[in-house]
Amino acid sequence: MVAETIAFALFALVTVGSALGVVLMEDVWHSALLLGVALLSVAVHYVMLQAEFLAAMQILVYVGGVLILITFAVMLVRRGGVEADAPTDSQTDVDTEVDA
Amino acid sequence: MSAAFTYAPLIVALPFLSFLIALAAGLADRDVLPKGGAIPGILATLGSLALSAWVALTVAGGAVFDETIYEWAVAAGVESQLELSFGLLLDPLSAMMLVIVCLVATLVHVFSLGYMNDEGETGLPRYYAGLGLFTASMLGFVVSDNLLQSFVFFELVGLCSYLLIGFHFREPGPPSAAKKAFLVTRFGDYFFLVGLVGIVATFGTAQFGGAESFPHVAELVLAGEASVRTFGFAPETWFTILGLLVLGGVIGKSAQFPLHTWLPDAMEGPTPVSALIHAATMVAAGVFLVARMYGFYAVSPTALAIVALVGGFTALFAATMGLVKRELKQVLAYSTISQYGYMMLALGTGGYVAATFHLLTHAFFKALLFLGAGSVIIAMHHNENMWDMGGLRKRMPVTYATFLVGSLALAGIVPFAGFWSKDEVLYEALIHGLGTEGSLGTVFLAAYAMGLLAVLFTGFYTFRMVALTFHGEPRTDLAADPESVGWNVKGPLSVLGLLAATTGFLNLAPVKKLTGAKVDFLHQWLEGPEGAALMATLSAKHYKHLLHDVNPAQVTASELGPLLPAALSLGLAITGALVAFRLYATPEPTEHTAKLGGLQDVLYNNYYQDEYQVWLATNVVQPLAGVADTVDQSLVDGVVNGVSSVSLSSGSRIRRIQTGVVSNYAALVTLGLTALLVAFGLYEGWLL
Amino acid sequence: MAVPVQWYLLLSAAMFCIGVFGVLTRRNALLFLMSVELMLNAANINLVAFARLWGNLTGQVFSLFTMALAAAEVAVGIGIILVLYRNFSDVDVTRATTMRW
Repeated sequence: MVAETIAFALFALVTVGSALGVVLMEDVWHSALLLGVALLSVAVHYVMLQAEFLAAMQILVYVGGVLILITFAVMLVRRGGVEADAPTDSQTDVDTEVDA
Repeated sequence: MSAAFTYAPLIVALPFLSFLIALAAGLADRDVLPKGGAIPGILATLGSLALSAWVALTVAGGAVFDETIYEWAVAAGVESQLELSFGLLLDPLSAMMLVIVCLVATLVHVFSLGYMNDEGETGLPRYYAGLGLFTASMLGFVVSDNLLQSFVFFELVGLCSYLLIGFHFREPGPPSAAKKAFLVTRFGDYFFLVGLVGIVATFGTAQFGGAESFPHVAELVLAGEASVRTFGFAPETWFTILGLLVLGGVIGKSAQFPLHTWLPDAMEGPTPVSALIHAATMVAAGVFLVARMYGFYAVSPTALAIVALVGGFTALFAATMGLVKRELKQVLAYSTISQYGYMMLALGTGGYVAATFHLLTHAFFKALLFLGAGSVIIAMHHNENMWDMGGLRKRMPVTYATFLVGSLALAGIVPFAGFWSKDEVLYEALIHGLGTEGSLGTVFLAAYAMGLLAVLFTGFYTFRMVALTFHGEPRTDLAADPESVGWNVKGPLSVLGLLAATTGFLNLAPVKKLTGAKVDFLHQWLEGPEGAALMATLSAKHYKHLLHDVNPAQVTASELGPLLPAALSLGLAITGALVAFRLYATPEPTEHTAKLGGLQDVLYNNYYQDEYQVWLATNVVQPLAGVADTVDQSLVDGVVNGVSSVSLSSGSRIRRIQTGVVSNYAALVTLGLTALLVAFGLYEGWLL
Repeated sequence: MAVPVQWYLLLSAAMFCIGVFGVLTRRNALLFLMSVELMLNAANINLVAFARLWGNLTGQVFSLFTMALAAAEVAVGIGIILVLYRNFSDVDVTRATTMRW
């Protein structure tokens, strides 16, 4: 079925793209958000694989639990409030390694 | 099984209980027990005495007992299984010894009331705990039914002697004497242990009695009816080696030459302890062990010859040293060594009954002499020098009378106990020496000659001691006005005096030979109840058979009348005694030792035995130990330290490769996983 | 099955590699955590795809366990990260090297 193939390709693209975003984004906060996107699109894959219950669990556990915890941690360990783009130690380190 | 045998374990348990009670009292650190703990000890030994008497009566009634009480290790072997156990062996020999030990221990406990309590000694619970454990160990040794149990109690006896000899541990002498006693006897026990292991490895059992016992199996092997593993030796040679190894322990404990040096020093202990050690427990243990496993020695001519020579030589050697001693207890110490030499002489020359008889009589008269000496020492306020005494006869009549009886017995004057036993020892040595063909007979005769000569010296030093102590005029103010002693001293002395005078009549073997009257009660006793299967391998009759028929040298008794040898030894003893009396029972005795010339110094210094042993220790053993120490320090420790330092230094270098950066570890894990995948892929062929 | 299973395997492999890449290149401990989540999800996709292929539910059950594990792991990881932050006032994993010797 063509529609299904198209849907798979589309969501595969979303999954891979957001996953890449997770590891490439400079700001941790953005990474966390993109992780949510990736997890949700994996849930869509589950639906397409006829594992609806698993998809529900994926959203419940991952997006509802794990992601919340991660954002929580992100907020706790960020320095200098929401606008943490000022060059701190860790920030510069991240810069160099992404360049490399 | 007779009821007496059911209660027999209590004989050992009761003194042990008194030990525990005294120990608890000592730990409580208050005077919780009246008399410092003497009462439980006296009651316990009395109880043991009663039970022992009951056991002896039962044995006399024709019952013997040999049973394992507790098996503490069982090992399954290839052919048979090895059982290590504690058991009871109650036959005429052990029953007799039980009565002796209990009786002497009871009297020593009572005497201690006078010697320790009344003299205001401190640490009495410790003293009575030691006595209790000492008695219990010796009783456990006597009833042992196997050699391993014997060894355990043998060592316990040694430990107790250490504790008691070193009782006055704050003074300089006793601790070092205690250490010496412990170490010298331990040196002998080392051989005993090796021999014990050898016996168990050879026979698979250490039982004394019965058809499976090791002496009996050895007999069968020699008769060609059985075989054991003899580790490449001929059976005769191997059994002789084993017997001599065990004899090492005996020589140490029974203070035979050359391991006798601890015993005179052990006089540092309290006098009742000396009495116990010499008469009934420690020193007697060695001779008793040989008698216990006599079947094993009886088949080996070499072992017999060595036992006889050691015994004869020790008898003479110690007697000469006793001649010049100035202190009362020292004379008695050398007399003990000498008398145990006689017992060894008897055992070596095939006089099993004679040795047992001398053990019995000696126990009583030597306990008597020591307690008498203790009484004198109380009176003299712990001055033991005989040259400070003199004239005590009139002031201490009871002590004098009993001491005189003991001395007559020791010197071997008819009709006191020592005469009968010593005469039988010498008689057995003589007739077996004359009757046995070949070199063994010659050895027996040589040993007999030494024993006979020692009789003369025994008479001399005994009556020199009596004369110096009790006769003449008081030589010091103290001797003129000695302290009086109480009932608890006189009581035991009287009991023992009676026994020392009369126990000789238990075994009038010469009288039987002359008249045919059956008065050799001890012979009949040790030949055992007729019909008891156990006695087939443990009776005096069996030993005679072993000596004559199984022993290759065929120990035989010649038909010599008992009168002449008895007259000879009696004459020598009386001569010695009379000479001593002539010399020393004068109002103003002098030492007379200057007449001995150069010999005087040698005798005063005990033939330089201590000196040469110390020389051996410092010039031979110590350098050897130094070499061993060096090897240990440099080679053994070097290897160990090297291993540890190598791993330490390599560890401190290798740990530098740790970066602590998690990313590196993650990268390495990924690399490793990839490498594994590639390797598997190549190996299995699905990658390329 | 409309979409061939190979495609899902490719997707899963891609996600896993992205996760590994994240672990290897980033120094922020939080990113470590997220990358691990990505890898776990890649494995899950694999499991579910094969479950669909064979018509067998074992794979799905297995992925449920993986989810539970992931949740627990995150909880512990968060705890570690918070302690790390408190001790080093930073979540850079390359700085926390004091325990190496």
